[in-house]
Parts: sequence; structure tokens; C-alpha cells
Amino acid sequence: MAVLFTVWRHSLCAVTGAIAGAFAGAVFGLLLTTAIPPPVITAAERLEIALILAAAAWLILLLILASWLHYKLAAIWLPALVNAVITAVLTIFLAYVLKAFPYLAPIVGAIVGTLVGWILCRFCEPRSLGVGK
Amino acid sequence: MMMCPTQPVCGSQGTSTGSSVSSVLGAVGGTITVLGGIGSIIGVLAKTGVIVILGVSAAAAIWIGAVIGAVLAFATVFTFYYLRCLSKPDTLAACSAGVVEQLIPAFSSASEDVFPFTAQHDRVDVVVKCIYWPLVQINAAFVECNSDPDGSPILRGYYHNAKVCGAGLGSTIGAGVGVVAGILAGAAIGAAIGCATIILCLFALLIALIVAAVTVIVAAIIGGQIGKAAASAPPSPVADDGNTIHSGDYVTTQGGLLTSGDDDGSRIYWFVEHTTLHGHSTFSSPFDHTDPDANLLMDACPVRTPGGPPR
Repeated sequence: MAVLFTVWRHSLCAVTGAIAGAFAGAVFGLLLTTAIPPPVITAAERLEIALILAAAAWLILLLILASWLHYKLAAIWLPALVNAVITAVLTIFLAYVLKAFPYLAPIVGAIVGTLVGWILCRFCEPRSLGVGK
Repeated sequence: MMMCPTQPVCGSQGTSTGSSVSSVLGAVGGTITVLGGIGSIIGVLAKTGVIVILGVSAAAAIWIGAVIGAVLAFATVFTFYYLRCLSKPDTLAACSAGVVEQLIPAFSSASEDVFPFTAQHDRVDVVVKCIYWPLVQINAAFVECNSDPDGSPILRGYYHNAKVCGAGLGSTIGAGVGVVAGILAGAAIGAAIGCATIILCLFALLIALIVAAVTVIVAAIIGGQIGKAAASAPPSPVADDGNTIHSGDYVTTQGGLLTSGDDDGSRIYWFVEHTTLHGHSTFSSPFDHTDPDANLLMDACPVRTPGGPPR
């Protein structure tokens, strides 16, 4: 976690990806605990679940970034959406591979989101997102 | 004629920053990760059992989802309060002078009125004299500039506002009270949806989490409005002589400088501790650094300012 926090302090994209991933992983991990053994989920259902969780994570990110932290909505909505969708899809498919250990899903999500966000950030810098205006 | 150092390049300086923005987001990310992991462990241990609390009956996973939503919302509200009012970051004592470009009072945006716990302290943007450019540039990840033709560098200063901290404390107390109600409401609504299919179960978990979080946020809003009303503060920042600061005023500001993620990684005063007024500019906004360079020859800074050149 200490390594993740260090990366998050230096990359807005990485920390937003981590939030999307940890959120998707946390909900999916709980979903896996609703049956013993964990439920069988088809690839199509996993994709559907990932997109639903990506949408929810995206809305949470928009609320925090645009409304609470005053980033310009026009500057962040698309990067946040791309970040959330890629992160959620990768998280759900990876977490399903590890479905015997549902408590790992949020950590998997945070790591995947950090990596996805960090890579996506390479395409954004050094542009300002207009925070504090 | 004043000798100016090399003018800083506006915008990103190509370096990263430790920032309070990342702290808010980092707290959210860290809380979700830890709560999600703990929640899933409890979910596995609960073996899909149904739990009844205060008459509300729901599957263990639904309860856990509601707990995650409520605690996450509380942690977010508290993080704002902590960063705005409780944390004591390291700062560099500094002094600078220039002309006030604009003032952004606390609670000046609709979102800060609706979500009082997110309110920022009063902000004053000063187009500084060129001899203070090193203060704007050194250790900055971003240099904020004015919209004048020269792109004159700006140094932001925050003035502590008691209403912001009153709102933060009230919101934290309100959120704390809302946690229990949020968990019960989230679990009840999630249980009503049920887990007939995997997708329905997903929605039950999501709704439980979101309802719990929204309940806590609503309680934080109510508490924040009460806390804001209970605290007293002037409507906008004032100088040491008690006069209100306006756009176009020549000022000297003294306080602690830090690099702020809330401001793109710019160097800012957190907070301005002393402000001296020196009269009013005859020019109009957007102001250029040549205005205070020429018309504010004697400011109130000591002869040498930390991080800046000898004068």
C-alpha cells in the first residue's frame, strides 16, 4: 500500500484509476462471496458487470473531481471514462481468475487502476486540467 | 529601473508534486481498497448467511456493501476537513508584493454551498513584482500566470476562514451521525432488490453502497450548514489594518509557502498571515507585473526574502 500511496501522490491519473479499480474490485469481491463456492459467471456476464461497475466508478470520480475538487468537467470526463472502463474490465477478468480469494479483488483493482492510470497519464501531460479555477 | 530575473515559463514545469488533491483521492482509494478487502473476508466468513439488525434483514454481502458505502463517505468528508483545517504541512516562510488580480471568497461557488465540507478558504491572486518570481517558480510543478499580454506570474494566497472549518467540523459530526442511518437504509433497500440473478445481486450491492453513502453525505451537508452558520468570519479577506482587500490593491503578503495540488502544483501561501495595503492601482485588470514593478517601489517585505534574490 505504501508504494501505491507514493505513486498516487505523484499522478492524478494513477489515483483516479486506482479508485475505479478498487471500487470495481470491492463490489465484485463481495459479489463472489454471495455463493459458496463462488458463482460461475460467463465472460459476457463479466463484461456486463465490468461496464456497470465502470459506469458507477466514473460517476463517483466525476462527483469527486468536478464537483468537490473543482476540476473542469470538460477536461476530465473523457479521460476518467476511458480510465474507468479499461480498469474495470481488466480488474473484473483478473479478479475472476482469482475468485477463490475474493478479498484480493480490491487490491487487484487498485494495482490495475494505478498501472492503467499511470500509462494513460503519459498521453495527458503536461496539460493543466484547470483545477481551482 | 528594476532588474528582473528570467521570467518563469507559464504552466507545467515538468515535475510532479506531493499534493492535497492526491491526499483526498488517495484517502478514497486507500479506504475502498482496505474496506473492500476486509468486507470480502467477512463475507467469506459469514458463509452467505442472512443477518438481522434493528429489524432489517439482509444478506451479509449487502450489509457489508452498505458499511463500505457509509464508511467511505465518512472518510471522504473527514479527509476534506483534515486537509483544510487540521493538517499542519511544512511551509517556507516568505514575503512578496504585487497587485491583487482577483479574490475568490470561500463558498463562492454553488458546489461549495451545496457541499459545505468541500469549501476552500478565501483566495487572493496577486500578480507579483518580478523580483519575487523565484518564489513562484522554485519547487513549483506549475506556474500560474495572468491573462495580460506578458503572462505575468501569479502567486495565490489563502486566508484562513473560520466558516470553512466550522462547516468541516459540522459536516464530520453530521456524517458520523449519518453512518448508522446510512447502513440501515442501504441494507434495507439492497435486501429488497435481492440476489435472484447475478446481475440483480450486483445492483443490490451497488444500491446498498450508494444509498448508504448518499445518506451519510446528506447528513454531512446538514451538519455542514449548521457548522457554517455557527462560525463567524468576515465576508472577504482583510488586511492587517482591518480594511477589506479588493482587486487592484497593491499588497505585501507574508506567510508560509507550499506546493499545492489543489492549485495544479503551484506555489501558494498556506496561509497568508500578514497583509499590508499600499493603495490602489490606476490600471485595470488583467494586471501586468510592470504595474507594481513601477508603482510599488517600497513594499513591506524585509530586504531579503527566503528563496528570492537580495534587494
